[in-house]
Amino acid sequence: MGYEFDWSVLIEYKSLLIQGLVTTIKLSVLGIFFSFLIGSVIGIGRASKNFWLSLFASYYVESFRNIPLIVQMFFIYFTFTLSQIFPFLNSWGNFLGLHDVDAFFSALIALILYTGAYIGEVVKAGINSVPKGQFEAAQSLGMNKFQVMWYIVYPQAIRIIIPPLTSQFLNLIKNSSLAMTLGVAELTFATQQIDAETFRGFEAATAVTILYIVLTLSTSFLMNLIEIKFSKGVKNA
Amino acid sequence: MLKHIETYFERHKIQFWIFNIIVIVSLLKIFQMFAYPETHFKEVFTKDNMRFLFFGRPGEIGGLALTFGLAVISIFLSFIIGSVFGIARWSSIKLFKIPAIIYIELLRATPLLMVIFWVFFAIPVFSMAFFHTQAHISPTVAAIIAFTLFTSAYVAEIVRAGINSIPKGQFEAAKSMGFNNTQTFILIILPQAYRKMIPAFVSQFVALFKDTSLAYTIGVIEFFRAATIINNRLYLSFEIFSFVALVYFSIAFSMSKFSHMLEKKVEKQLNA
Repeated sequence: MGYEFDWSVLIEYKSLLIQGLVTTIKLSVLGIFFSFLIGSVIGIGRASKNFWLSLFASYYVESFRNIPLIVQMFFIYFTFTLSQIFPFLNSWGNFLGLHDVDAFFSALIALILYTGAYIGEVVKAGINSVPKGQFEAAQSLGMNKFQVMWYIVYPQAIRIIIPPLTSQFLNLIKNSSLAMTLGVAELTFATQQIDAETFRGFEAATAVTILYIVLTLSTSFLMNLIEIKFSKGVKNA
Repeated sequence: MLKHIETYFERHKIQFWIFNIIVIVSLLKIFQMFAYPETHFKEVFTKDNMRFLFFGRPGEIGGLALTFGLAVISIFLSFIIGSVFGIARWSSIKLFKIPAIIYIELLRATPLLMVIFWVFFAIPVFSMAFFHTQAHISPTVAAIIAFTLFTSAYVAEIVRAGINSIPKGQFEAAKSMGFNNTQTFILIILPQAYRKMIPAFVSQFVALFKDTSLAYTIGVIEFFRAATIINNRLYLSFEIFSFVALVYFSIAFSMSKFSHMLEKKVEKQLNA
């Protein structure tokens, strides 16, 4: 007796899969936004000439990069009750339509911290790759340090770092599958649930894998569009 | 004053590291005092718990030993498979190149957790469909297969980049010495390429070492699962998970520093 494939489970449980997809997208979008913010701050700190600033930024980067994401998630989830420490998260959870506010935000914060460390390294590399003359030219025009960073260096750095940044964003989307371990009902969790209810884990896993591939491909397509837009009117040196 | 300390640290590396450790420990202590004033480290650090965390249950391999075992076996296997795929990806023969591209892109677009589940679900299904037998696959083996499949895609990219980084002159020089294509590749190109790849392999090993914690989800009792088992019994999550994080950090950090050191060494050798 061979194994008979039964793809109809996917149609039967499509609401579960769609909900999972929506939760994954929520995690990814929020994660990408905040990890980019944190990563930029850390990256600027890492690239700064100030010894102490760059030392503390490197503490952040090394500590969050070298601890597995799942350990960070469990640490945050089991040690803190986020919805009690930050009561405003409850209203955010309502706004986002979440069932389990604590698990979602623990996973999200761990994702942000983890990916922020990687993005910090990427941003640092980008800032270092901007030629020194740009700093000096901007300073000789009378800009202060903040203005130099904000108007001159950072826009150029962003354009350079878009490809590695994209791969970090894709990593974040893929890593969001770990939120399953805390019980956040995202895509991978849907696989588990379908498997538990129908023993059709193989079909569900295949479908979810395809969904992840679609998600990552569309993200990299979007980032390509952004790259084209950013590099308009810039000579490729 | 601060400038003096800065120059001092630049000259004395060991003192700098001691300073770093003191600062980090005191930061952690402050964090613990604010976040979690009462700790019970004594109950976690019993002899049995430590034995379970590092070596697993008596009579079987588990804990940190299994984590290392998983990482080492998987990196070794994925080194072989990844080399094959990497060379296929680099070659100009379409018959080899296209399957390699599909394999690499597919696995790089999939989360590792999904790969683990896929292997765990798919192997029994495939054995039913093709060999008509029930396959009993242990979670450890499934985890090794999943890690190997996943990491070999990344290793393949490393191998391809390594081969691409060899200057064209090497091929031409080998040809003019009368080597044929296979000889050129095996005797001239690969040894140089692999030497260049060593740092990237070490950092891939660090990534894999961290990722082995995902084997937790299918029930492999490695370091992280052992920790969660202890946590379920004692419910001292702050103590247990901070200890786990510290162990993972110290191993991964020292290995990544090692890879950094190797990188500098290889650079020096190649430039000399």
